[in-house]
Amino acid sequence: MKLSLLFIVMALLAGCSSMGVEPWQRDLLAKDSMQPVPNYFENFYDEHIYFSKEASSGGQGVGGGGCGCN
Amino acid sequence: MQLIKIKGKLAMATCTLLQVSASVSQAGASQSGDWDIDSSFLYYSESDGRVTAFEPAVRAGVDLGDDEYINFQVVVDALTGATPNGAHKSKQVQTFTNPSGKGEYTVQPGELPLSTTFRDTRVAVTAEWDKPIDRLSSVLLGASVSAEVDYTSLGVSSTYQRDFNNKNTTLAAGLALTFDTIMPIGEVPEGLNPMRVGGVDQQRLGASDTRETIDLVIGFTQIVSRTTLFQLNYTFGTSSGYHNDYNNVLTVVNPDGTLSTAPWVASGTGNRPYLFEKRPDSRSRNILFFRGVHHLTEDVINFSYRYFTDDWGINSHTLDFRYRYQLNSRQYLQPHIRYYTQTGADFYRHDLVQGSDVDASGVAIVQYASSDYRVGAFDSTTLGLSYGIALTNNSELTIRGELMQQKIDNSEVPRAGEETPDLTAVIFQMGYRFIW
Repeated sequence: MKLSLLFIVMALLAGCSSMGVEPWQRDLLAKDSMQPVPNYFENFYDEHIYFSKEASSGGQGVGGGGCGCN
Repeated sequence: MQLIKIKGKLAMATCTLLQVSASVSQAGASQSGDWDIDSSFLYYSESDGRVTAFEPAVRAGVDLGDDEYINFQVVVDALTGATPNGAHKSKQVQTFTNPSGKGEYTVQPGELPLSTTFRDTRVAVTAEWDKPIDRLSSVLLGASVSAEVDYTSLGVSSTYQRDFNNKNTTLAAGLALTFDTIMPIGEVPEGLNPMRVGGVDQQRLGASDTRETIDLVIGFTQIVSRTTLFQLNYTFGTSSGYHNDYNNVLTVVNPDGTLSTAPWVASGTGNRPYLFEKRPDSRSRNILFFRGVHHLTEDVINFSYRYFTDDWGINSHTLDFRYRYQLNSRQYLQPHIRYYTQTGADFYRHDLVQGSDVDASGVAIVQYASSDYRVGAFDSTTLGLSYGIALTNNSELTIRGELMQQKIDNSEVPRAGEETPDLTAVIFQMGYRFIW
């Protein structure tokens, strides 16, 4: 299991080493709209609503606090 | 609006994998010592007089210099309305005891049983510290406290992330521990034991119970080109302790569908024909999450997909698509569509049948059971539209309206008239963010 995980990580790193941009090509990537979560509270409220209304939650990262939401 | 200045932190911000990290990076103020204040207000309201929530929140982040950030967040969540108690609709009048064990409420034939005493206020405080270790790596530490009348939650988290490939690739590993204490109004009911009439001994187990949760996340973010990046996260989570919703019961019916008339609910026993739900005391889940962000000429597409599976038998797929249509340099419109579908838990039951699921003395033959529709099978679709405008170079106003519709799978309901109704909710959000 550990070896497979290590292999996947190494393969990803190797495969992605040809991707990417130079530092001076990051103009668009720097925009708020290009952030993975461009609006923090929009995402935060969505996570909270669907956490309390569905049986699945998480996936985006760690952190936050639980609640006894109904 | 461009709150983030192009600087060394930029690469980290665009590479950022985890949501918590992303938020810190984005909240990085334009100059050291500046505060980035993000405030928002949510109004959430379900149809048919069910739950309404008001949720104001504020988040303040400060740039300490040298790529070090601290964030504080306070959220207040005020809930009112009625929530399903788990029992299904019946052709008979149904009477339930309030969760407190005092007082009762009656539900007319054909109506969905809703607990009307639902009212709560939650306050949650979170702090995060994003600390660089060296030029390529950083650690994010977080702590949160959340309290409401019947629930408290304490959480700590830590995420380590490191850049590779000229900062075009980021790997992250996160760990979160959550400690929850559940303090039911009227103390903890014993799972699969009968709801008791008001005023008699409620046969509760004690004032509170606990649950501990561990989440591990491994994440990978890749900048593909000047216009495209993607993320891939794997999460393993496990929790142990109290997983029941203490408000929820299951209806016990005779084989003909009428409310149970077995000896254990006979007059004088103090029992009602409902058993409190009981879920397993542990849960493990695996989640794969993918997100892609792509810049067109002016507009931006943000797409994500999540696959969730757990050892309760719940599998789900979530698709989320946002298209940011740039009206001009200061304003945008953003349509949003989200689709979610889940299978039911192995222990999900429409009801319990006298004789086959519950014996004549009221003892459940099944090990676990819940009729909470949220652990049953259903689909959910959300459609929404956001509007954003940069009021100044350092402030932005956003408004969002959405409609969520949950369509419940009633295909296994044995009798017509007992279906769980679909749910519609409106979501309205307004936010204002500025540098101070």
